[in-house]
Amino acid sequence: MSSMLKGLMVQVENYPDLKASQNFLSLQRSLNEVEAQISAARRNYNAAVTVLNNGVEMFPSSIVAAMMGLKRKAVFEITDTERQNVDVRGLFRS
Amino acid sequence: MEMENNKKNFSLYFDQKIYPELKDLEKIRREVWVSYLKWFLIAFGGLGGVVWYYFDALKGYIPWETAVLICALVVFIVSALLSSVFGRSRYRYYVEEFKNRVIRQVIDFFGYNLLYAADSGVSEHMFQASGIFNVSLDVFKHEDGITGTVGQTQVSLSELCVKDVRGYGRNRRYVEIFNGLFIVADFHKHFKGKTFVLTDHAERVFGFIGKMFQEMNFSRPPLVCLGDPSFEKEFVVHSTDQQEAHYILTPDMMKRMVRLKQSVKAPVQFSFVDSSIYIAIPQAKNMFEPKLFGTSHPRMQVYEYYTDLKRVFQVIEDLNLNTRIWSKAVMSKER
Repeated sequence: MSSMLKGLMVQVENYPDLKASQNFLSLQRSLNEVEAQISAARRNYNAAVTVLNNGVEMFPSSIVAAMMGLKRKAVFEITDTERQNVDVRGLFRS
Repeated sequence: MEMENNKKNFSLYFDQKIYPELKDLEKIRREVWVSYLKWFLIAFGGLGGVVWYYFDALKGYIPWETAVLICALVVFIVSALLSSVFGRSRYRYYVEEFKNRVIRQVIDFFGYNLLYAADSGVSEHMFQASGIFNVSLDVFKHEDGITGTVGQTQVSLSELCVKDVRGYGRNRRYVEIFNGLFIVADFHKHFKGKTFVLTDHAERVFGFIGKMFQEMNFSRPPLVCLGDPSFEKEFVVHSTDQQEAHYILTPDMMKRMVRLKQSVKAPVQFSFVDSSIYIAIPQAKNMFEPKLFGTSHPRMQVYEYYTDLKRVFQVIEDLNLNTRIWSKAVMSKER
């Protein structure tokens, strides 16, 4: 999404009226907001997973984790194929 | 280079706007000294007369020279105390005039839309609402209140002195809760919960055991782990909403907060409540106070006020609060 935003900004430079457009500014803010919220959710999840993994691996909580059958979890990583940019054009068309 | 230009511009502004006010105020400053001297002489004369009347009674008990010395010392000290009490109203008038005429001009130099009130400031309700200090307050003093807009950020700040009375009877004492600069600003993101970023003592001193004690702090919302070691070393974060805490405290914001703490060299604390940020910067210095003893460098004295104010407004820039690229800017306009 960050790369999409950068690309969008480069295109916008060619259209000064569009830059000043209130609608465009609102769209820009909404996209920034979505990106910030997704980033926050990802970091929150990864922080929780890190706490769990520390508990599973460190003594003495590792004993309790072994008794409960808890295992390490993987942190959330976005692969290249899963990096879907927001299709803004598609949103406006639908 | 920029600093030199600012200093030059302020110097010109000082010559045009501030120096004439200082010249007027010099008359009032002299009147303060005359008032103190007048009351000192009245008290000295009165007390001296009384002591002289009863001096013969003392002569029998202690040597003559010692009696004179003790009496003179007592009369001098008591006269000085009495003159400071009775002359205080003139001094207060001088301080009020100085702040309204000089400090106001210094604030106007920055070109922000700001109001200044010398004897007002952040309210007790706002201080309590921040939740940074979870204690009852018995003494709450505010002064040098500045309210308005710095860039795109609504700000209200002032100096605060907050104390709590503890103990009973002979053990009763005043404990200082906070003394310094308190800033309330409109945050650039919208949020509903409460997040507290407090000075980390326990983990820094006791390591992971300290962190365990922090997790058991039931007077605060749950602990938040943010995964930034340099930030976690300086601060401990509690929040009513884990995800919201991550939304507010981005890696960039965390770096800025650490840098701010290092630049002010004080245990700064923050809270985020009701889409506002509260910043508590403890400092021993009482800002914007005029010097009663005449200074041979009034320009340097006023420049000190300017640098103090600049440092205060810089906090808004340091935390990037004027960057309004999220949905809160849209919501504010729609209102």
